[in-house]
Amino acid sequence: MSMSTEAVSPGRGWRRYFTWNTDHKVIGVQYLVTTFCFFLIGGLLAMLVRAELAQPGPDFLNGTEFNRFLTNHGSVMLFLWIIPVLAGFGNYLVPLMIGARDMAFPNMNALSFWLIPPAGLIMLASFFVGAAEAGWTAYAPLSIQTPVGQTLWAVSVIILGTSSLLGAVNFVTTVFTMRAEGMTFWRLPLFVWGMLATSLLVLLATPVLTAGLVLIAMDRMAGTLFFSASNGGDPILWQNMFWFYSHPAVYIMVLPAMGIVSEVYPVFSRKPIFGYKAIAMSSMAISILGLTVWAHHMFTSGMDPRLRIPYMISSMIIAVPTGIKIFSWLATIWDGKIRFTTPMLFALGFISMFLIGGITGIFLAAIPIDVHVHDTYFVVAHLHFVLFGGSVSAVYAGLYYWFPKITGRMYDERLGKVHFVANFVGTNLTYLPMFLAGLLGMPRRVSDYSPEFTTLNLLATLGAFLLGTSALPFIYNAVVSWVSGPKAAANPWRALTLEWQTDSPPPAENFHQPPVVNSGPYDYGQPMGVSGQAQAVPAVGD
Amino acid sequence: MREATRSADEAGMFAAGVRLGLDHLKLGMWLFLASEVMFFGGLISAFMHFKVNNPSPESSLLDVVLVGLNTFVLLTSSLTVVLGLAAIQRGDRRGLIGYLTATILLGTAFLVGQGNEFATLYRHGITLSSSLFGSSFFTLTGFHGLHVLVGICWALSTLVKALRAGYSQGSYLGVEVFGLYWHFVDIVWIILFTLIYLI
Amino acid sequence: MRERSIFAIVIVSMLLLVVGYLAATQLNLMPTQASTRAVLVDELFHVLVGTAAVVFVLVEGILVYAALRFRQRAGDETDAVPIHGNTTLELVWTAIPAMIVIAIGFYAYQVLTEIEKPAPEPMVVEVIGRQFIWQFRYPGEGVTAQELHLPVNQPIRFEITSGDVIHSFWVPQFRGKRDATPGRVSEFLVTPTEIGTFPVRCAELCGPGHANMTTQVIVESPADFQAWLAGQQ
Ligand SMILES: [Cu+2]
Repeated sequence: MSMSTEAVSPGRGWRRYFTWNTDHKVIGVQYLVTTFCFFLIGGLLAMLVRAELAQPGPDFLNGTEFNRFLTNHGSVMLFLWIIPVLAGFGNYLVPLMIGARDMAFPNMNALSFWLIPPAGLIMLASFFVGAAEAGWTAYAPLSIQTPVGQTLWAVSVIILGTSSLLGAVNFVTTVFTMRAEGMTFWRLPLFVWGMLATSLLVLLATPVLTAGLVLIAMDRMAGTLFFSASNGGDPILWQNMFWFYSHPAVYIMVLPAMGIVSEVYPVFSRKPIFGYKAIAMSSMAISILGLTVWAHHMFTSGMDPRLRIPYMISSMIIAVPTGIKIFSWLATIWDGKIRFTTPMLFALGFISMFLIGGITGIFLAAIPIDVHVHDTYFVVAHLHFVLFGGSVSAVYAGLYYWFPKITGRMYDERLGKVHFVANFVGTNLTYLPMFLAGLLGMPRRVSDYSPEFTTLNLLATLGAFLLGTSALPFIYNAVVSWVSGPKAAANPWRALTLEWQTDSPPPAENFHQPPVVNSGPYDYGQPMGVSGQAQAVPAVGD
Repeated sequence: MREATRSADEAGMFAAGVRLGLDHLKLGMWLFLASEVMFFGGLISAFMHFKVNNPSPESSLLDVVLVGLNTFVLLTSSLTVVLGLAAIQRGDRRGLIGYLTATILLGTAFLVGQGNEFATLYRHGITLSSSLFGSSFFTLTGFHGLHVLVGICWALSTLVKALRAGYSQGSYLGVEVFGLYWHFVDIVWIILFTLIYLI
Repeated sequence: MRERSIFAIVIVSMLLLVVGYLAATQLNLMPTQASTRAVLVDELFHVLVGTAAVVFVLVEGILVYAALRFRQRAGDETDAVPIHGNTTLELVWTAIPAMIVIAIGFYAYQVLTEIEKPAPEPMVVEVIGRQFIWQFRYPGEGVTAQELHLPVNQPIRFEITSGDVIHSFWVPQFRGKRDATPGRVSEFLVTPTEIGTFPVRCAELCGPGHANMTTQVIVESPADFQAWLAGQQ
């Protein structure tokens, strides 16, 4: 398998986005747009689920249908939206930010992308043959008994894992071998650090999920007995393999998001990031600690009681590097000159909502509380504050922030702010009531509930529909601005990182001259008014 | 569009990685192998979990001597890869071709040996679905066999390139990267042999 | 001027934090306490809610204050004063959260030890989850029921397993759940302290009927319990 074959000619115009194209910028856009479509599908599934739950009693979905929508909502959102959309940002930005012409393996990069649409179609097509209905966690032995769609689900997730894995190989290799002259590790933008930390997790954790899914698929198709309790098989084995990946996966979904907001705060505060090295290293710390906490999802499983304590402690310790980041961000905006652009609003929203997800994580790590709230709506609220209030806010921040760079046009600020407000209110309205529902006794993944939870559920459903609607101004804004928005300058935000030191959108191979870096990525407020990392471009060259 | 992956020397100022002394194809391979370690780690954990908690008398049917011989065959194939690489580094293209051919033959011999072992076990009624031992044994060794098969295919394509004079004294990266993979598959087998047959 | 305003901010925020902590620990967000473990779990929970409220108010307060106070002034296109870091401050916000989580971890460990301390003579009840019903067996009595009856103030050891897929046995008012996993028996200790009827719910997705896999637990006086038991035999 040769990765270094001649790159395919890029072509111009919109058609290139539908081809096998090896330009990382084209691939980045392919990722962003495709995954956003899956986001909309996942969102529609969520709204169907919430509609069923607006009132107690069976309304229009039976238990099986409900479980199918629920399972695919989770799977689509995690495997086809958050993880790959962040890889999409990585694709577009990492080479630009480190001053490279492209990724290290352009063809493999195109392959990473082109695995996604078929995998997504396989997952969704399974609705025609009885979709997966065992939750995104696919706990055995339920996931061994469900209809054939569950096999398609496993195949789809294996393909998506492979895509993610190839991407991670590419990111790490690119960052290690393709940096521009002068781009030392301590001058890497924090988004690149986030991608690096994430890629290491993907490399080490994803294959274990793949192995687990292989065992599930073998049990279903080849008659193996891994999870068949009556033959001595062990359902808990799946939980270990699943969470060994799926807990780190939370950090795979969060670390690049933290990287995105770390780019946004300094630019719109006109101030250097506070504690650059601490933020970079806390990403690595989260990444390493993240591999040691998986069994905190299994405190109620009847696992060896002695083993629970180290998992509780390691899970709580993760709050420390996370706290370092949050305080560093606050110190970054403190005494700055803050501009409330849409990306900055989403980035500030990120802190405020991710914080709630983070704090409630401590509750879940504390075993005595966890055995009460585990598998309840408390967990649903917690994970959505992390992934929706956190990651999705950061994704929106990133989409607005790099919109002028990617499209060469400006988006509409007013619509952006409408989007932010609707999204912020919708998120809190949807997920805050769920904390209470969970504490009071509502299990998660139920298609029906006791009438005592009606008000809380109605609020959550209203919030979910507000959230769904809030995507409309964004879509309108993105489409109209991309087609006919005002032309954007190369560096409309006066940012210092390398991606802004080239045209909007960047030319083929990114830079007219190979950039030479002689300063940090966030050196705002320097007396000489340094204009960017590429200040001294002509130093070496032709 | 130029290749983004051309060699570091050629790329001049983009060659920050040269400082690490790493070619990115080799680095990419190492990273991929790290993930393969975790994949086999998952399957091995499953196997060991059942071996420890549900010991099976069926494991006594395993023929350590024959499989030991097979192990020797696979180890030899690693040696031939090393010798092939050494040959091309000296500029000895015919040596490379010879050693690659030997590698392919040895790898195939290993697979034949494994097929023979599987057939014997099947005759004793041990299948994927007969017992947990069968499930975990065939899955683990089967996936290793699959990796050997991929390695043989890769060796074939390397051989074809060698026959077309695609490698020379100054350019043998493809052989090196293939070698990384092949040695990895070998090392995994040594671990499997120890865990399945020896302890 | 600057020092005085910092001093004022510190005093006001300290006051707010104390008030916040006290107020938050009074919040009642949990269902009725119907077991001994519920009391201990809720104490831990309230301490956590109080701590969380302080952290929440602190961070969101700084965020909102900074956003209002440090807005760009119209026409000011200059950069802010560059500050790259402050080692003391960074050490403080590493060390303090570390101490807080270690303290919480230690406290949680103590509560865990306490709620899982085996009682001298527990009554054993076997719990079997099946798609989509619960079965309760009283060993030695020859009684199997689909509704759980328990004598009040009697330590119970549930032995929980499943006949098919994984379920999870949960009584919210007891503050705890344990998975019912096929092929293994998990223990769960509870001493009910309140006479009353509480829901039993399945907390692990187990198939189309998962939501309706509910029954009730009736905690009654020992005499009532014995009468019920006799009636079942
Ligand atoms: Cu159930």
